[in-house]
Amino acid sequence: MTVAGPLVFPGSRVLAGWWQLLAPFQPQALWVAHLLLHRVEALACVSRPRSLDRFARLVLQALTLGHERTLPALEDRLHLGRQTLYQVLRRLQQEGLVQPGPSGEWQPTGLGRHALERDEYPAVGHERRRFYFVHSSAAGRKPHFLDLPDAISAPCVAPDDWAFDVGILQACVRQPAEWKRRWGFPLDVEEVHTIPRVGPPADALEGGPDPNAGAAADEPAAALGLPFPTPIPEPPAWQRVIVDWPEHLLSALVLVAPGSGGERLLGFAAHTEGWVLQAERPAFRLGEDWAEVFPELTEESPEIWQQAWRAWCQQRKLPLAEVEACTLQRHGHRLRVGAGKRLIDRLQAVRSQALRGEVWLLAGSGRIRPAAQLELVSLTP
Amino acid sequence: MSQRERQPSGGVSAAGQPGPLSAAAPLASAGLPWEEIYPSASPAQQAELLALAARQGGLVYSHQLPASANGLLRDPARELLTRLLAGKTDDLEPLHVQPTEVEDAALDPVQREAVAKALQTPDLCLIQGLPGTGKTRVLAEIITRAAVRGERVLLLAPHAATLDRALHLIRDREAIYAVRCLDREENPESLPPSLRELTFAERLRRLREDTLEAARRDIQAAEARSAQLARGELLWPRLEELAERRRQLDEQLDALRDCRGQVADLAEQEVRQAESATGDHPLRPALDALRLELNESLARIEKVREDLTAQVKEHEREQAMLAAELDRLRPLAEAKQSGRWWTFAWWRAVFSRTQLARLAACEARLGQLGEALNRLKEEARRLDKDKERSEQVFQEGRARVVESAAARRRAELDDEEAALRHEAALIQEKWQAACQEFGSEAAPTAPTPAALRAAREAWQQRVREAEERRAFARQWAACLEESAATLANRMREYVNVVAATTGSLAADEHFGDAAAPLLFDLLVLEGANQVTESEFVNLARRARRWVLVGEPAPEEGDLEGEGQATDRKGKGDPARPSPPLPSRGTAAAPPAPASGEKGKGEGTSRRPVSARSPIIDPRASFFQRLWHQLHCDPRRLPYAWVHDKDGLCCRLRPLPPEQRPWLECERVADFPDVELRILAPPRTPPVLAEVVFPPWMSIAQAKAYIFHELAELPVRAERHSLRWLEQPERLVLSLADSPPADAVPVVLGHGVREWVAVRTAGSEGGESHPTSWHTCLVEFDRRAGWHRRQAEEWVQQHLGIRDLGRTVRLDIPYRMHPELAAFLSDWLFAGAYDLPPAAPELAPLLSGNGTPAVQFVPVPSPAADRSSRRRSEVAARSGDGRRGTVMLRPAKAGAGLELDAGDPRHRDRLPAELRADFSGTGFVNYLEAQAVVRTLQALIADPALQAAAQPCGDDPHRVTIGVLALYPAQAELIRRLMARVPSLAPLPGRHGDTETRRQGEDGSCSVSPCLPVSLSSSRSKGITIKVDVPAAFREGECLVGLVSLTRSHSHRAVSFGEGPDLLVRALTRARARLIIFGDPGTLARRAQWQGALDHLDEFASAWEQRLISRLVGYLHGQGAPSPRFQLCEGSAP
Repeated sequence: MTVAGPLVFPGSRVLAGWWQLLAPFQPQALWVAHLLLHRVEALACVSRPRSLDRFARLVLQALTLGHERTLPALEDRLHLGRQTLYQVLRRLQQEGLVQPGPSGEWQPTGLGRHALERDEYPAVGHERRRFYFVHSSAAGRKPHFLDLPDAISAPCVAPDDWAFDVGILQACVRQPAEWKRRWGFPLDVEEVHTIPRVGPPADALEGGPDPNAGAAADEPAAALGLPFPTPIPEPPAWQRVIVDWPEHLLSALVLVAPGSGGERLLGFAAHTEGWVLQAERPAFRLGEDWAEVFPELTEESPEIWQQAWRAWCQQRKLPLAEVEACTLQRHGHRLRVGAGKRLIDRLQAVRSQALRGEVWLLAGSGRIRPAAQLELVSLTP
Repeated sequence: MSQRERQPSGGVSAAGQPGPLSAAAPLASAGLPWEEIYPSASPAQQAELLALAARQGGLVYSHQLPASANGLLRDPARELLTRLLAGKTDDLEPLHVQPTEVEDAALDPVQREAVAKALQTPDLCLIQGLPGTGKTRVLAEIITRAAVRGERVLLLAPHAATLDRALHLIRDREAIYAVRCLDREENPESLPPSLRELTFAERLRRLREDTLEAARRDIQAAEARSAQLARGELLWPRLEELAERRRQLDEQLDALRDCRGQVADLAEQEVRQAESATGDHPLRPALDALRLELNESLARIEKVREDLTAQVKEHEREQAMLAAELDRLRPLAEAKQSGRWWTFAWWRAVFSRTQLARLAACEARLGQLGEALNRLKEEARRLDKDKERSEQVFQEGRARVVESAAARRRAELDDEEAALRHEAALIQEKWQAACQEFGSEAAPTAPTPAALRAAREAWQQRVREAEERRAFARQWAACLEESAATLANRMREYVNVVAATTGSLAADEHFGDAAAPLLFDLLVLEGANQVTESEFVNLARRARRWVLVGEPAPEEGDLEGEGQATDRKGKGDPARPSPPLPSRGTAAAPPAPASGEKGKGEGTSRRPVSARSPIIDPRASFFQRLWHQLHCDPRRLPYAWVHDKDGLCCRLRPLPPEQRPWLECERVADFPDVELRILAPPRTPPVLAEVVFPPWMSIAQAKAYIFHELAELPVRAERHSLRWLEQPERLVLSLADSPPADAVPVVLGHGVREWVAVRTAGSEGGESHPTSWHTCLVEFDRRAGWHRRQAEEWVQQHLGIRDLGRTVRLDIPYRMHPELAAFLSDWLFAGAYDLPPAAPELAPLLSGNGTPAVQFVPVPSPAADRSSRRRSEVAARSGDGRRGTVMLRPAKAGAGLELDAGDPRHRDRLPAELRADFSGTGFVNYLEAQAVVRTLQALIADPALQAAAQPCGDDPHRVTIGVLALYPAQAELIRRLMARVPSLAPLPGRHGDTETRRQGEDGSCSVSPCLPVSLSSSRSKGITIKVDVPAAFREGECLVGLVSLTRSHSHRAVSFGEGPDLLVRALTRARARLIIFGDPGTLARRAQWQGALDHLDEFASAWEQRLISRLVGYLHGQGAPSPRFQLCEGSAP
C-alpha cells in the first residue's frame, strides 16, 4: 500500500528513456500522472452469452422428445438415475432453462428453447465487478470512469476529500451502448445493485455521465431479442453493498496522432521503483473525448513552463537575467527555448545535454504534469 | 437505539459520512473481496456495515471496513465459537423462525421447530436429544428440506454407523443426491450394497457404465423400432390397395342394397316387358298360359252370356206380348168382377168366357216369364262374377310370375352379395395381416382410406419421433462416452449431500482437502458431543451454517442427586437447590434491581450469590459447552416456591443447609405480614434469599407481590426448554406442555399474565410429592401492543433469560414403549424423558400379556445360589410366582463367574468345544451366556414377539432381538452357544449362512458380529437376532434388548464395559422390552465403590456408579414403579 506523501516524478533521463520506449506509438505529447482511482466494487447484474454444453443440450433435448415429461419419463430416456437427473434439472432450472410444472412435469422455458435453437443463451447472474473511476481534486469535478484492467493500480491512502457517489456508477450503467463502447465500460453489466439510501439524498450529479441517457440499455432480455424474462434471484442486502477502494496508478499519458488506431490518449502504467514503464501495452486508451477524463491536460498554462525552465536553470546556477530573457514556445512534445548566446555558451561550456536535446522537463505542481523535451535555440544570429 | 447501536464494534466507523481519512485508518482488509470481509465480520460489525452503507447510499469506503488480524482474514468459525464458548452471545440476534413445511408428517411440533431452526438459522443451531428421541429423523428432514431448497449439505458424524442410519432415511428421496465418503478403514466391498452404491466411485461407475450401457440399449431399441416402422413403407401401398378394393366392395354392396329395395318394381317391369315383348322371354310361356286360360274362360262366359241375352230378349218379347194381351183382357175381368152390367165389357166377359181364362193364363205366363228373367239376370251376374274371377286368377297368376321373377332377382343379389362379402372378408384378413406387421400402435383403426390416411400421418409422426429418438440415443451415448472423463467433475457439482466421518473427510479424494474446495450451505454434524472443538473448527470452514446434533452431557441429569433426579417431572422436593444459569450475560444475567426494592431490604442484594455449579464433565465436549451457552434452560432459574409456616415462601436463590444459620428475618415495614429472609454470611454483602408470605395470601397474590416489589418473576419451570408461540391474539412463552384447566392466572402488568399450575400434595405412581407450583406459560396480549421483540426484552428484564432461538431439545423417546421409557427415564436420565405415545406395534409385547418392560435375570439365580451359599437371597416375592417381583437382599460380593478371555488359563475353563479358535477379548461369563441363550429360546417361541417381529429388510439398524454383551468375548461366546441350538440357527442367505457364518476346523460355527441373523426356524421366521457389543449397536434398535453385563467378580468392585456411555447405549436400544443379565453381588459391590476404577476416570466412574446404584436400588425394591420392573427368580424370564 502506498502511504500518502510527496509526489515523486521521474527525472529527465527517465523521461527520455520512456519517450524512446513509446516511440512505436508515435507520441506527440507526454504527461506523467499520479492518478488517484476509485476502485469501486459492486454487485452487478451481468448478462453474457453462454454456450450450451452438449450434456445440458441433450438433457434439454430430451425434454422436447415425446409427450411425457415427468421425471420417470425423462429417466427412461437418459438413464442417469432419478436423483442425478433431478440435480441435472435443478441446475438447468437455476440457469432458467427448464421449469417444473405443478403436475411434476418438466418443460423447457423460453430461454431453454432459445438455447436449444442457438446453442447459447444469455446467462444472467450476479458478479462482483470492479469499476475504476479517476478521482479529481478539482472542485466540482466528478470522478470519471476509466477502463482499466485489474491489478494495474495499487491500494493507497485516500485524500481528505475522498468521496464517491454511487449515482455516477449507476449513470454509467444506464448509458447507451455507444457510450459504453467509447469508454470501455463493460457492455454485459445491466444493473448495479445497491441498498437504498437512508438519510439525506446525495447531491445531484454534475458533469458526470448523463443519468437520463441510454434508458434503452436497461433492458437485458429485450436487448438480446428475447421475449421472456431471464431468471435471476434477488441477492441479499449485504451483497449489494458497494465498496470504494482508493488506488494509485503512476502512468505516462501519451497523446498520439489520430489515425493510429483512432485513439488519442494512451496511458502506460509505471512503477516508481526503478521507474519501469510498461510500454508494451497501454493500461488504458481514451478516444478523442479524452479531455472529459483529463481536462487538466488541455488547461496548460505557459507560466508553468516558465517556472520549470527557471527551476532547471536555477539548479545549474545560470544567471537569472539571462534565463528570464529566454523565450519559451511549446511545440508538441518539445519546449523550444530561445536563449541568448551567452546562455548557450554557458551551457556549451558545461556540455549540457540540453544542447543535444536530451533534457526533459516536467511542469506544474499537480498530480498530472506535462513533460517536454527541451530544445534550445539561439536568439541571436 | 439498541445497545448494539450504542456500542459500535471496533474497526467500523460509526460516522454517517465519510470521515477524514488518515494513514492511521485501518486498512488491513485491503485487497480482500467483500464476500470474504463481510462474512468474517462479527454480527455486530455486519449490522453496522449495513447501516453505514444504507446511510452512505449503499456504499462503504475501504477505511470503514473492519480490520483483519495481521492482514489475514479471521476464521469465522473459530471466532464465532470462541465468542460463544466465552459466553459472548450479546451480539447474536434471537432467531425467530417461521413454520417450515416438512415431508415427514409424523414429526411432532418440537421436531418441526428443530427443522425450522436448522434451516433458518443464520449461523448455527444445536439440537440435543437423549437416545431414541428422533434426532436422526429430524436430521434427515433437515437435510431433505435443505436439499429441496437447493442447498448443499455436508453431513458429518464421528462414526460411520451414524451416517449410515441417516443415509438410510434419506437415500431414496428424490431431492437428495448423496455421496458417502469412505471411512479410513473402510473399503467399498465391506459396505452393504445399499451403502456401497452411495459412494462416489460407485455412483461414478454407474453413471459411466450403467448409464452408457442403458444408452446403448436405447440405441438398439430405437434402431429396432425405426426398422419396424420402416417396414411400414412397403406396407402402405398394399394397405392402400386393399382399402381401395374394400371401398369398391362397399360401394357394390351399397348398390346391391339399393337393388334389393327395387326388386319388386324391377320384376313387375320385367313381366310387363315380357308381356309386351314380341320375341322370346323366359316369362312369356307362363304369362301366355295365364292369358290363354283367361281368354278361354272369358270366351266361355261370353258365350253363355249371349245365350242368356237371347233368352232374356225372347222372354221380354213374350212378356211384352202378354202385357198387351193383359191390357186388353183386364178391363173385361174388372167389369165382370165389379158387376157393371151396363158396360160393354161386362157383357163381353159374360159372353166370352174364354177371355177370362186367357187372362189367367197370361198372368200366369207373365209370372213365369218374370221368374225366368230373374233367373237369367242372376245367371248374368254369376257370369260377371265368373269373369271377374277369371281375371283375378289371371292377375294372381301374373303376380306369381312377378314374384318368381323377383325371387330370382333376389337370389341373384344374394349370390352377388355373398361373393362381395367373401371378397371383403379376404381383404380384411389381408388387412389384418398387414396391420400386424405394423404393431398395434401404428395400425389403422379401419380399412378405410380416411382411417388409412390418419394412420399414415400418425405413422409418419412416429417415424419422425423414432428417428429423433434414435438420433438422440446415439448422441446421448456419444456424449456419455466423450464426457466420461469429466463426469466426475460434473457429478461433484450435482452432489448435494456429502456424508463423511469427521476423521475421513479431509483425506477424501473428492471432497477432502486435496480436492477443489466445495463450499456447503449447511453442515450437519451428528454426534457433535463426540467431536472436539478443533475438529469442528476445521470442518466448519466448509459451510456457511452449522447444525450440531448431539446427546446431552450426563450432568444434565445422570449425575444429579437423588432429590434432584426425582423432581424432574414435578415430583420430589421443589425446593431443591437448583444449579444456576450459566454465567452469561444473556441467559443468566440477573435482572436489574427494581426501584421499588429500596426500603424492602436496605443494603441487601437479592441476587443469587451461591449456587451449586452443575456437575460438568471435565472432558465435556465443545458441543455441551456450547449448549450451556446458547440454550436457555428455565429449569436453571434459581427460584423455588415452598410451604413455610403455613404460608408460601418464595426462594429467590438456592440456599444450602449450611447457609441457613446465616439467614436473618425481617418484616417489611409497610407490610409486616410479609417476612424477608436475608442471607448475611460473614464478610459477604447480605442478599435477599427468601420472602415468606402469610397463609392468607394465594400464590397469585404472592407472585404479584414479588413482581411489583422486586420486578422479578420467580418462575419454577418443569421443562428443559422454553418455546415462543406466536398466536394471532397473543404471544406465549411456553414453559410446559399445556396449562391444566385449574391453572392460576397472575396478572403481571398491562397485557401480561402468568399461568401457574398448582400440584397439590399427594401421591402418584406410587410416589408421594409435596405441593408444587410451576409456571406453565407467560402470555402477552397483542391487543395491548405487545410484539415479539418487546416481549423478549420484558422476559430478559424480569426473568433474566434471553432465548437465542438456536437450540432445540428433544425429550420424547419415540423409539420406546412408554413403560420402558418411563423406567429408563427414571434410571438413566433422571426423569428427562417425556413419555411417548404407545406405538401400536409395541403394545402386544407388553400390555397384552402383562410382561414388565424391564426384567433382571440374576446370574446365578438366587435359588441356585442359596444352595451354593451365595450371599444374596430372595427377600420377598409378589405376583404370580414366575413373573412376580422379587427383591434381593443386599449382597456384599459377586459370585466370581467371570473369566478373562485373554488369559489362556481362564479360557481353558470354558468347554472344549467352545474355546477352539476363541478370539474374543475381554471377559466372558459362561453361566450368563447360557442364561441369555435360554432366554432367546423362550423369546423366539413367544407368539407376541413373532407377531411383532418385522423383517429388517435392508435396514441393518433394526432387529427383532438385540443381544448386547459388554465385552466382545462374551458376545462371541453367546454366538457360539446359539450356533449349537437348532431353533436359533440362522436362515440360509440371511446374513447367517453364506455371508457371516464360518465353519471352524472342529466343526464349530461362529457368526459375524456385525450383521443381524435371521432365524430359519419356521416358527421364528421374520425374527432377526444381532449379538454384539454396544458399540456395534450405534444407531441401532431392537424390539427386545438383552444386555449381558458379564462381570461377576468374587470380591472387588469392577467396571462394566468400556464406559458408562456404552452401558447407557446398551440399555437404550430396546423398543419394548429390556432384559438385563448380571450378578447382583458384583453390582452391589460396584454400587458401593466411589472414585476412579479400572480404566474409568473419576467422572466416568461416578457416572457408572450412579447407574449401577440405581439398578441395585431397584433390585432391592426401591425407586422404580414395580409394574415396570421385574426381578426374575430363575435365569430365564
